[in-house]
Amino acid sequence: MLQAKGQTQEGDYAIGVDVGGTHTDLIMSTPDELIRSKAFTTHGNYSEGILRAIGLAAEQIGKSTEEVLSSCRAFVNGSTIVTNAITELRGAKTGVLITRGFKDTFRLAGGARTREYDDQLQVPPPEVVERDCIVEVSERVDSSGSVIVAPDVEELRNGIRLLKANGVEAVAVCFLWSFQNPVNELQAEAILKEEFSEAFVTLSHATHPVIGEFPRFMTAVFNCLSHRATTRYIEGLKSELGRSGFAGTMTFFQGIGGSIGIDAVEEKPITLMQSGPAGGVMGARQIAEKLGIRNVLVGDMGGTSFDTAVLADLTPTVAREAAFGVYRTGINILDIVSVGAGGGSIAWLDGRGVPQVGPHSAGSEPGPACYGRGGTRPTVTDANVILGLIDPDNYLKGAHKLDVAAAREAVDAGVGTALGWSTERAAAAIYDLAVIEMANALRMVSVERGYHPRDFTFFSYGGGLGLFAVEICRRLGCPNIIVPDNCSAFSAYGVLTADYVRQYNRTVNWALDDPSQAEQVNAALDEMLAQARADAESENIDAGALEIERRGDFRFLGQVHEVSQQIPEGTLTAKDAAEMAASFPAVYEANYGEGTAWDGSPVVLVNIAIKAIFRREKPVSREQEPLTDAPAPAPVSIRRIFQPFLREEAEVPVYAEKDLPPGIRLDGPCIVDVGDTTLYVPSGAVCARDRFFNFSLTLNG
Amino acid sequence: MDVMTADDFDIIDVEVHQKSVRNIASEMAVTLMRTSGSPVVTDAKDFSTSILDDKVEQLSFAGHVTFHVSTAVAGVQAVLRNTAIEDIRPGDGFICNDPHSSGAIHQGDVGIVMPFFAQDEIVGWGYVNAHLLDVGGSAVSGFAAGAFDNYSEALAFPAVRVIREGRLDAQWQRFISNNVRMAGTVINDIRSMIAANNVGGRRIAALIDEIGIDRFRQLNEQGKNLSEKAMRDVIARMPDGTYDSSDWVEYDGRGVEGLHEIRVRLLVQGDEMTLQFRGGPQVNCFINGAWPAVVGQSWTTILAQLAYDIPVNAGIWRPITFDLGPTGTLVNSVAPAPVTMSHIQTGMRVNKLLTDVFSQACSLSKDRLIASRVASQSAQDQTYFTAFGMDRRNGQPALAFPMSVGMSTGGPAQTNSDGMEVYAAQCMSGCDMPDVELEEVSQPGMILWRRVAQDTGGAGVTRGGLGVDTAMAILHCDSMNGGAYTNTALVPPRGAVGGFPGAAGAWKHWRNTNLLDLMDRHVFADTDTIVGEVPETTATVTDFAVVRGDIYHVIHGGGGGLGDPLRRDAGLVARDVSGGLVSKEVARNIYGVVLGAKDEVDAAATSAKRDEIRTARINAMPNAVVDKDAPLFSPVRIENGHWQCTGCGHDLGPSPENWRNHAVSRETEVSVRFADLHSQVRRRKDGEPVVMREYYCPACASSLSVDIGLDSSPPAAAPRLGTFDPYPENLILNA
Repeated sequence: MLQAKGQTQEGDYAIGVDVGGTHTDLIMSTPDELIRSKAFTTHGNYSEGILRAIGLAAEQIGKSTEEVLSSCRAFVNGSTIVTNAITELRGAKTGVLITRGFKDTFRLAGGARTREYDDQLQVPPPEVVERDCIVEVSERVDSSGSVIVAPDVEELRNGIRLLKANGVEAVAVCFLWSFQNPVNELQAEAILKEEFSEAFVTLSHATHPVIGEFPRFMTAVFNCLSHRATTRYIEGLKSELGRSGFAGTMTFFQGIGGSIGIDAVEEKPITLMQSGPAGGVMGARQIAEKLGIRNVLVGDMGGTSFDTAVLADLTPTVAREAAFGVYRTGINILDIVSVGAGGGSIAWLDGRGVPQVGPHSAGSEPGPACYGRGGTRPTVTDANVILGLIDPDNYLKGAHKLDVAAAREAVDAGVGTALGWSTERAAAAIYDLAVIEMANALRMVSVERGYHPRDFTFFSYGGGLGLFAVEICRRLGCPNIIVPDNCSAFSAYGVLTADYVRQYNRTVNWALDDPSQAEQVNAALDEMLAQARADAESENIDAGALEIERRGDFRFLGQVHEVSQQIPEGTLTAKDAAEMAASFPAVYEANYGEGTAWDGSPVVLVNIAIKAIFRREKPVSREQEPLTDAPAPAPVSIRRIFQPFLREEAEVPVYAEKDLPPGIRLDGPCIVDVGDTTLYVPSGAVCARDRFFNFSLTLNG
Repeated sequence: MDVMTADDFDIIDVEVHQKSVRNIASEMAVTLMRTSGSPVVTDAKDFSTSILDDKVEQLSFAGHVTFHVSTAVAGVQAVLRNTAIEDIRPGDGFICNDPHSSGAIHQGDVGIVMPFFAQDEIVGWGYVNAHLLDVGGSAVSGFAAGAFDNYSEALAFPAVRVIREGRLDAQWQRFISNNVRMAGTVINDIRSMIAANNVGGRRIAALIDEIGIDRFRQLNEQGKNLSEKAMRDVIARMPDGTYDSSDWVEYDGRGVEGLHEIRVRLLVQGDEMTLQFRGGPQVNCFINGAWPAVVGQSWTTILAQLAYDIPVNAGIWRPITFDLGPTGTLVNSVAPAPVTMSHIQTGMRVNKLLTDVFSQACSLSKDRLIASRVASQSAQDQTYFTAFGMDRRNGQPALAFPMSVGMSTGGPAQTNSDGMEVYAAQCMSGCDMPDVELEEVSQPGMILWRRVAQDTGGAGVTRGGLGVDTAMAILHCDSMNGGAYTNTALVPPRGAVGGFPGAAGAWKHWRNTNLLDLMDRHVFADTDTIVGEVPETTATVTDFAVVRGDIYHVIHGGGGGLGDPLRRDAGLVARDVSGGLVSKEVARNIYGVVLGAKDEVDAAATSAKRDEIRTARINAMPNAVVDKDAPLFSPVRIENGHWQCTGCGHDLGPSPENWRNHAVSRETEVSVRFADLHSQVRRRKDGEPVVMREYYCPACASSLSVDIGLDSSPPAAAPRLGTFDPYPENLILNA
């Protein structure tokens, strides 16, 4: 942390960035409004792109970068660096100390067989740790936590020296049953300090003290793997921003949806996994709360994928023990479902002659055919150009001129000709399929979890989604859509407005019919709470102001999967145990249906979790009293489009966003040009704007 | 109606519908998995869910276990044979777990059939099948190694109604509980299966409410037509002709090392194919195949190798004919044949037979995609044990069925990759290997190690996946009894297109060990410290008895290799050596790769070594050089009516005669040859020996095929393109 302890946080500005694969998005709050900017991400030295984005934002309010940074109180990072390190398995060179007999744990990967039938997909997983950097240690703890064999110090020393000689930078200590009894892992840590003090060390029990060695070990290994990129990012940013006068608090946004300080990140960089997408989810939550909306579905469409999540009663669901590829981990992150349906997704005909969209993408190189950079396969963006939904002369504020003829040729060659369809109909089919893919993803997070989309409002953000939002919702029966102000840099907005959140987990395995274990569980809860308070205070957060959520994972004795629910306040008693056990069957049946509870089986509280939240002050966003009976503005142009749902041509008005004040209502069909994004309002839909400049789209009937 | 010329957006409506029915089948699967308590379901994914229509045709399948494609259909047919449809009410449910009467794979895989109603009529059926922890009888967990007939194997439900109004009938529950070990878990898993069907029924009814029954039926038919078309397109791209393969089912549980031949003949004609299976008379031990296992395991291989991207529904059945020959044989057994291992014994040999014939056809296809589907056989050595005892810590019944110990066998080499470890069996899509810590909670012991077993993967351009070497010590029961099994000890998995075979499976029972003493003295227990007796046993043990401190130790087999190992990238061999997956000796002697002190490739020495091996193969200096651009996975081809080596163009005689007659061949007793490969296979002590036959091009010494057979069996047949020569209908082998 840059700021000295006890210093107050002053300054006019707060900045949130979302460093993505292509763009670095930025939202800056000033005393009056929110400013957004966008720059290319500079891989290798991320600070460069970030400073460029800051410069662009400063320019908009007539200030210099230094003027803004020197009175910037908070700088929040959402970033793809950890996601990249893990998905590409490129990061700090990592060594592992592991219980003897189990060095192949990573290669075996808990069984890497996929659910697909295709045998060509059943391939060995990539080596996540080089095999000569895995050292076995003759140590063993059993399932009851008894030490069967303590590590031999000489063997440990030799192993550590070998890792050092092999050039590792970080060491994960991965011993069986260490969460039951960490003594052997602690011993390894002590020797590591003596022999290899410069190494970054992660103990598996410290990072994820939960049963199941593969996810626990993977968490430790991924933590090591993400350490170098994170440290470099932090060091670079600290010095570059510091040089420009920044003296505020720097925090980092985690995949679980809240931000933490530098010290916490340096210890556990893995928590930054999936930080960008989580930013968008929390931004939607923030705006929904302000608008009094309780049930939210979110959608974010980028170039290669569509991400979606559900917030029932404003509570995002959490993916527990998230898996990355074949690697299961112990990391909890917001449950975001991603499907390969983005602007660059390619349309193709499968073996049955049925058109499909994605998951393959033309990426940014060569990109869609209409980019004119050599792409020949039809993409979703090409379809939008043919349908007239994207203005080929004014794409991204005119940054690219699009080649309509190339788009038509690609769509004919890839889909239309084989099926005997006109170019427009083929384009409409591609549009439809993209809608179906996205609607199916939304169905996965809603219908399949027992939520009906009709009770939800869809928050649509990301560059391309405004063209699809109404048609997606038509298929889902979801009547209301919000396209938030700043929707094109929405993850940065979410990152900026996020609260401080930290989560602590532990396995306790309390059979609730045995009240004698309560004492032990209470002690664990107290310890976790004390840790939460200490961590908050180390970031200048008043521990007294923390909101604490306590949850437990429950199951019937003998089951493998758990159901999570809150656990009662205060010290747990025998009465609490009885009540938790008595109420569990109903919770369980709500999940799995009547008659499914395991009659007569004891209930076990497997894991306990504490979530500490500190609500940060929210920035001011623009607000204006809505006009009543606002007259329809003059369209900036009239465009001929092919309406995909009706499958017919129409001349529709195009409006510029700046001409649309709060209170305005526009009937579809029309198009709203927001500069860096476009909204398509089909026939039968109405577009309005609220006092916070968010657009709302409503389907009639 | 031809969907392609129907209203052009129908095709997309059909796709949407198909996905939504498939989502319902998946949701049934998720419900089962989340609520079940046995790792057999939650980790090994030994279950499946299906939705069928009122014509008892499949609409969707959310397998994990792909052989249930057949049992779903056979199960619902059995219900309708036994019960008048007017008598079936909403919430009824039927148990089908008997291969002979209710279409099950084996008695341990229990199917629950429930009707799906909409507007008071039956519109379809839900079928959920899971391997239950126990089904009573002499079998622990449904594997009756010692049974002589199906009556002594396990409880066998012939599609009887045990569920009313969505709940297990109390009388039946009492009956089942009284007859199975681990009654609590078994009854709860049946409840989970009911819950899964209930979810499916509700969702189908809601879907029909939304789109109407007529539209529902119309879209279902169009979906089947699309899958049929796709299946026909795949078959049409395989060369017309007749393809043969033989394999041997093993059983030595009564002391005699029995090998029982079964054969397949694949006939490809245009866009249809016929699979003919033939075997000898059925036998009095649990290896017999019955219709569900033979057809179900056929689907496993068809889906894995050819039809992997086609939505599973009744349409894919249409262009394929299954001909199992006369009843009463190993591939078409009837009561009283014991069948508790029909899927693992005869069934998994069916996988191997089909991998062989499909690969023969694919390697000769001019279609690049189909040609790339050549694959070796996976190990599929199902080597594990099940046993029952009392837990000394709490006096409760304890069942040993350590999934992680049993499933970590090597996968098949593919044209795009080496095979994977922990492939389990081909039918087990999506299976996970339980964590050691979870096994040590659910099993009565401790896992001592879990290591990749060097040199078990077959050599080739791409290597077979390796087996895993695992040991589990019995600690929490004073004694346990059950069975120990392996289906692949004598006849190892073959490579393809010139690749070498992978290792067979092996296991050891360590008795009278010093393990408890080592633990007391805090000494690490590993191969260098454990002392005990390892008695010689049969591969299948019908009365397996273990006591506290004993160790069950398995070294699993590996997948076969693909292509001539001399053409494997030397850098990949070096990587395998430094990773400990392949020994230096095998790298040198089989791959011809010579490594330096730091395991780096010595290019000059490697080139010389490879030449030396080629000379040794044909016992002469090769007079042709392998074209470096020659295809890696298609060693022979037909040009102008003649077989030819694709490596150098050497003539191998007229087609359709067997090109093997014109190759240099070498035959060795398999265990002798496997010693060179550092691989493992059990030597057959009595009866005809198992032999390995290698065929090399007389000109360039390329490896053309490596076959496995019995000493007296004729050479493996070559494909006969353009010939359509079915087996006689009543053929019984060795009759």
